[in-house]
Amino acid sequence: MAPIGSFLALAAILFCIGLYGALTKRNIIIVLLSIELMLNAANLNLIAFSRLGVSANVAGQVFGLFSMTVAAAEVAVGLAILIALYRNRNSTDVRDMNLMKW
Amino acid sequence: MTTVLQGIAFADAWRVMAPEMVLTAAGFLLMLIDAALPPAAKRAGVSTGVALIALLVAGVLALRRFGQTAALGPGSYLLDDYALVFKLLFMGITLLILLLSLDDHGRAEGARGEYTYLLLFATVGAMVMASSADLVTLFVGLEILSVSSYVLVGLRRSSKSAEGAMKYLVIGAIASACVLFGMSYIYGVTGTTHLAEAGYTLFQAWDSYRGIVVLGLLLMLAGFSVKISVVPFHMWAPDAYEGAPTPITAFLAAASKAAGFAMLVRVFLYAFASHFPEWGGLWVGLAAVTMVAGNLLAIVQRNVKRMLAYSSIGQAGYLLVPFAVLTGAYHGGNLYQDMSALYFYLAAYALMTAGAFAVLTVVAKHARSEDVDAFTGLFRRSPLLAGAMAVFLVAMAGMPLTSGFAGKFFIALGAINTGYYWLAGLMFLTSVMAFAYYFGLVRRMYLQEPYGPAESWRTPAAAALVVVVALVGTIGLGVAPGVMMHSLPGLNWFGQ
Repeated sequence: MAPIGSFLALAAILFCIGLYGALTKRNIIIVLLSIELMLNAANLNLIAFSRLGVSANVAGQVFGLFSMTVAAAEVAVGLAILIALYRNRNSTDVRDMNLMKW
Repeated sequence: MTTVLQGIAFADAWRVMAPEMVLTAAGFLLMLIDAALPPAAKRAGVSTGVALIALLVAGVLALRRFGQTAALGPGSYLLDDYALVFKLLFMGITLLILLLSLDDHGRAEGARGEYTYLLLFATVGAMVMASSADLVTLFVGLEILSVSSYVLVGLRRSSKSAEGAMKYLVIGAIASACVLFGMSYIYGVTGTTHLAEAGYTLFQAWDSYRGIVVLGLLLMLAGFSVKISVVPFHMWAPDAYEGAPTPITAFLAAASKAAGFAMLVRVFLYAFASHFPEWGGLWVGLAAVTMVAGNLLAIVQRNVKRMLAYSSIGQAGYLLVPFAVLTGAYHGGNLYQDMSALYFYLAAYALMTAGAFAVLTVVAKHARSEDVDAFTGLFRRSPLLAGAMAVFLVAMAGMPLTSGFAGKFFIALGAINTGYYWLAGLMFLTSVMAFAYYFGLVRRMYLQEPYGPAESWRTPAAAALVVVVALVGTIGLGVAPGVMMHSLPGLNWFGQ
């Protein structure tokens, strides 16, 4: 079985890619995708710990299930708000969301 | 896990989480009512009425539980006085917000059933956060509150509203992901999602898995800081506050922030208390930066909602002080005294925020603008509104004889007792800074002539009620803070 370190490294890399994408990408859909990546990186961590952790138990998998549900709700609301925004602006570009600053 | 789930009888669940159950049931009931009722009946405020009744029932149920302790599951969902005082605060705020929204419904946005039940669900989320002692329930509670808030912010049919909601959602979701990632590390090291057990295990694991624990701690700290809008993580707040319907802004500023504090204190006290001196200084720094930056940025704002948003960021700095000095000097601090000071200021702050936003709602409705100019000469248009607003503003700044002064005084006292003289000094200094912009607005209301004809503005009954309640609370807590401050430390806070 693969050691836990490689799973943790993969999760950490995914999380960083997600964070980078969420902070730098200009299309809101890509931003939402990147956030999904961050949440799924956390899920990967939970599952890895629940199988291979110092005191492996099932709680991590349960936590993972909950967080998947939550992530789905969050992205659904995100897309709904994006539609409202698109009706107003005709754009999904982050740079067009500049009505309010400072 | 299955045995645990099967082991929960309804009676036990009712004992621990009756208020949450009532509010959730009312929320679902409102969803049905909203689908069934004709539009005319919706405008009459039926849904608000149902929600108000549900809140009152839940409030009575919560009051009856004081002094008791119980837990659901293996101690993952707690009933203790700490949770109860916060729940009462959330429900009180929601009550005021609902009253305030009664007038807002008549406007172009129309009567919205989802407004009411989302507000109830958000309150339930906040209450779950206050009661949870388990990472899973905590995260779910946090998300119930957050996701409902994203929708509530975006409910106005305006460009700003959608933009504010989007910014709030993106930043909030990144924060949630950080919290979750941090939690996954804490679970990994301790092998439990239960906060108190994790605390025991972390006591030893801190040394053997130092890097991973600190990483998890920092990620959670960053995520929580976003939720309570502490300064390097505050950028979403002014935009979300400005875009949201005004009553929702008040909800975010008061209830959402209070829920963040409830969660933060519980998590860090239960799970990370063993090594406070090593990392507690972080909070002290964050509190100091937040106080200064929030109050500085408020000075340059032209939009009153934005000004109040930045001022509420500054207030988050003050609110962080009791917890910061507790963590910074774990052995010198007095837990119950500090918790009481935190709660007292939270309650005082919630009242003045609700009041100020109630006045803003009325003014913005008449002037069709949230600019500071809308407040110019308010004294001529409505002396009562101007007087109430002046009281709320000087209370936020910390004028003696208002709750703001009493609250800041207790907080500063806690800081001085633990040797953080400079933090108490900084509180005083930033209060003086705050007087600058609050008094600018007061001067505008009293000493300048209104633009346009000086017709008098009528205050709708519900908004007037909110203003009066907030006014009585703000002055009452300022004149006789002992009433609350003497009973709070005697509470059975964490059920020991």
